[in-house]
Amino acid sequence: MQSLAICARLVARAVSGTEAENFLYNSLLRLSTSSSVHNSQSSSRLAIPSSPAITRAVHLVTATSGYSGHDDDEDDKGHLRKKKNSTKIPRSNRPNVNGDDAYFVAKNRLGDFLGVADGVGGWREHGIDPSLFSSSLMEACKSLVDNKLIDLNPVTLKELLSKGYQQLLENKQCIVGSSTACIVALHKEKSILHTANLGDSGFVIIRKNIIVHRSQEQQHYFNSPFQLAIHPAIKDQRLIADSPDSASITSFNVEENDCILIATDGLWDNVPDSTILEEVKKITEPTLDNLQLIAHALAKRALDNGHDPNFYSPFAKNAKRSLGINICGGKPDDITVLLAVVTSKC
Amino acid sequence: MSESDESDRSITEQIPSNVLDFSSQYGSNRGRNYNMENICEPPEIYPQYGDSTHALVFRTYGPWWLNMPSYKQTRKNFKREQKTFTSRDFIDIQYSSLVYECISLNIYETYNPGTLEAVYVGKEDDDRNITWHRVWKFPEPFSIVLKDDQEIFIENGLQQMHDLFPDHINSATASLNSLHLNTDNEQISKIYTRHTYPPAARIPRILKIPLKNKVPFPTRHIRLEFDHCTANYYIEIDTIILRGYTSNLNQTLPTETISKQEETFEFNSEINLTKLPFDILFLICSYLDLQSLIRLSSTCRRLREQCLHPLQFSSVDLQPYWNTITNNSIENFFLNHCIQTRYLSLAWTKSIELSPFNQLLNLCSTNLIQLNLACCQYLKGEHIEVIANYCSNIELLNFENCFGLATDDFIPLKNLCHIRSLNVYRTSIDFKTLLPLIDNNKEHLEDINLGNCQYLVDTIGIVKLLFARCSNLRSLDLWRAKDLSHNAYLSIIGLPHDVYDEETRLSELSADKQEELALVYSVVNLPVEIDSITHMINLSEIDIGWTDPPPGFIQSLVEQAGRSLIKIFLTACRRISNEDIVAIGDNCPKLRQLDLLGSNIINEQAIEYMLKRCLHLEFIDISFCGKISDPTIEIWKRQYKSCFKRSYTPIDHSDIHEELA
Repeated sequence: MQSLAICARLVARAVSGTEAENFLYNSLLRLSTSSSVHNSQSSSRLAIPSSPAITRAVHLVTATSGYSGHDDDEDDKGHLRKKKNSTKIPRSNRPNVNGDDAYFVAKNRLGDFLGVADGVGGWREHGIDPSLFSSSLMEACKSLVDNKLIDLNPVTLKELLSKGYQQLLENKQCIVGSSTACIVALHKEKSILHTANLGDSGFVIIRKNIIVHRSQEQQHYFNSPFQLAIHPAIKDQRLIADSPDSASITSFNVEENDCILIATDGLWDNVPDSTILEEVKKITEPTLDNLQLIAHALAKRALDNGHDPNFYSPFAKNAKRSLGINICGGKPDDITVLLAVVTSKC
Repeated sequence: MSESDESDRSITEQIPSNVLDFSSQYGSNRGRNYNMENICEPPEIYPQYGDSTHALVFRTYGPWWLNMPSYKQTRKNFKREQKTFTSRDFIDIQYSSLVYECISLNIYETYNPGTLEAVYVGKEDDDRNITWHRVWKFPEPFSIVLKDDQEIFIENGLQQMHDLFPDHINSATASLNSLHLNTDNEQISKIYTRHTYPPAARIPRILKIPLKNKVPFPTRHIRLEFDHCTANYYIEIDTIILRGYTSNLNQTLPTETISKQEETFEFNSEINLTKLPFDILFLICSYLDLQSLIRLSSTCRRLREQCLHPLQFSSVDLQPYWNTITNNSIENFFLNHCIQTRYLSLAWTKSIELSPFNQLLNLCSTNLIQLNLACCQYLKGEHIEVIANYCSNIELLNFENCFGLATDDFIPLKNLCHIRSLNVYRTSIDFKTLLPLIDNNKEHLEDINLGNCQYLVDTIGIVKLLFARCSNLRSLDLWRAKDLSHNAYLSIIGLPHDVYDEETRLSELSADKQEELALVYSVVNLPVEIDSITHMINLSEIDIGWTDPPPGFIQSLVEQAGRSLIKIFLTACRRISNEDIVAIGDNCPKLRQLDLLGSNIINEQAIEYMLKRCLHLEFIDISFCGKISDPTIEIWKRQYKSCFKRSYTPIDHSDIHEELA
């Protein structure tokens, strides 16, 4: 009840208050409720009807899930990292990493940022841990959002990717590797979702059970996505290196309760849109717990399908379409799923 | 003041809001890696310990830099003793809220701690001018907080490590001995420092500087000075928290004013200084530091005449007194005595106006041989004109980190023609000044530092001119120089290269830049091709860290001009090949320092080959070299007497003495 009272006082101030107070109100309200789902519901009932004058700032409630690929053993919490038995390269226990995938969730005063990156596995044959590049890239992006990046407009995310990449080049440690990347950011005040995508990770926006917007996959040829790369001295004609400038950027007006799903190809290759919609439909109330359940379910579906030799996966369909070859079964891979809902509730 | 007032007040902890000034930085100007601004965030590395991209890092450390001929050159003329001043780097920080009563300053030292030398607090007047007051100096009392929250009070910073960790006396002394084996101790003893060596246990810690009752005015400005010349590696700081009361209760300010460390001297009355002959007295006076000299001069008329003789002011280094040098002190004192000044350092001074600056340099005029203006952010174009107009005989010129000067402000300098040493680290200087300046001084230019100059539009032309014409060039610093392409590197040492690449580069510049460049090129008659650089027989220091030379460049460089090389810094030059390292072994018999940080190519065989041949090697940095294993380095440490540097990303140290053992 105490938190309820605090919220009520804040609401009263916000209605009569200045912009600065509004901002304070929004941030405080979110702060006071993010810790407990129960409180948030009661306070939101209080806040919204009583203050129609406030411009509704939106934000994202985000759940994450994922699996390290090639590993059947399921993690109880469905949350993260398994060491690959086959990997001989010692890897440090980094947070926000699923196998070679990495992700970040960050926010600053302008909006909420989400990103995924899929480290290219081929580096393992050069004796390089592919997750080093992807996780370093995501960490760099997160730290830029946390600290420096102050603007949020259609080209910001390309800059973010570019600055993040620059950070890797300017690390004392020579971070060799390559990775795809997909970053989205929700502008709180304007309700615009800015996106940047490079390679075959991607996102969809689901509104009322329909996919209303999605990323464009960028491939040089089948199964060779665009990628950011650092390989100063390895002479290998097969190596691809794309500039952060080649990222495709979009800006999309979102509405409250829109679902945003960002994932690496581990999901897109193994779970068709119909299944995604079917799962996302199950979200009755957009609470963090509900989102978490669905994120886990999607990741699990991707994992199961990936290991099902008889499943006619999106990957197999694409192989048929691009190369005309008939294959069947899923594509075992690392999976990272970020599921977010746009909400003004706190 | 009532008691309830006291209890209502709570101590505010602030992280820095911005960095106003600093002396040097490891990071580039673009990203946030290794930048000064990293302290403007809450602690993110502590309590881990290691080399982090998110920390504050200065450009240099250790005795290695100070023992290079290029550095010694800049110091040798300043003969006057200044034993109490050993600061080498500084940072001026601003906090967002005024603190009315300071409690302490908490410095999160996350890599190679123990180098803090002095703390100053800034008092801001109504015109936003800041006067700086020293509130702490090593080895005054301070405390350190370890990660288990254990607070250790250190009454005297000169205490040895085993005084602090009596339980670990064996491991500490053993490690000290091993460190001694791995460093050339003679070198260190030559450089005066107040820190014992090694300065501290290598563990993450919070250094707490007590400020209670030491700051009798509200403040939000803090300045820290560091002496990292005995540090084993780069020092890194996570953040710097200022603790104190931000509310003003209009209470009476602490009565204790800033304590001055006045030392009392006991004179033996039997000896009468004034009876000494002039030359003896003159000699004695020349051994005094500037402050003591002036104190002595105020004792009696005869001594005043002797002490303030113009010859006592032939070299004037005002850097140790940077916070006391004002327009007033120049006009009323130095203008009367600097009649024969040949060597002048105003480094680190704050806001000297044009008029006294003008008068001082006019007074020195053609006598002036050396001028050091490092970190003088008040400099404007007019100051530069003054230098160019009056001081035509200047040979050593230092504008290190004067980032307030615009590109075109430097242009008057291009007509100077006696320059032997030029330091323009981290300034906006570009080709319009540098190309004519280099050409005018090609016969005698010895040292040039172009590190981190971000506006060098035409780096390639400048480097080409240096390699083609400056036969006496001794040291070249191109740290983080941009736009040095693969092709450019090949072209400057006479290797086959693509001429069209150069044409493309020029055509990509803006039209007016192309025009300017073409004009300057024709004035200096820029060489198109360089056949060889075998004429560079004196080249002894080269730093091309954080640039991208192609494999084979170093090989060709050392084959042609490697005989005199004593320092090669290839920090993060990711494409340096094993053949390059082997060539260094074959061609650089005098090599003393080698930095190969961040290479994933260089292997143990190449390093071993080089170690066997470069017998004078005292220092090699092989941090983040993926192909060189720790056990191998352990073997090398026993086999060769060089100092092997190996950095690592931040980790949690389970045993704080692991590092030392």
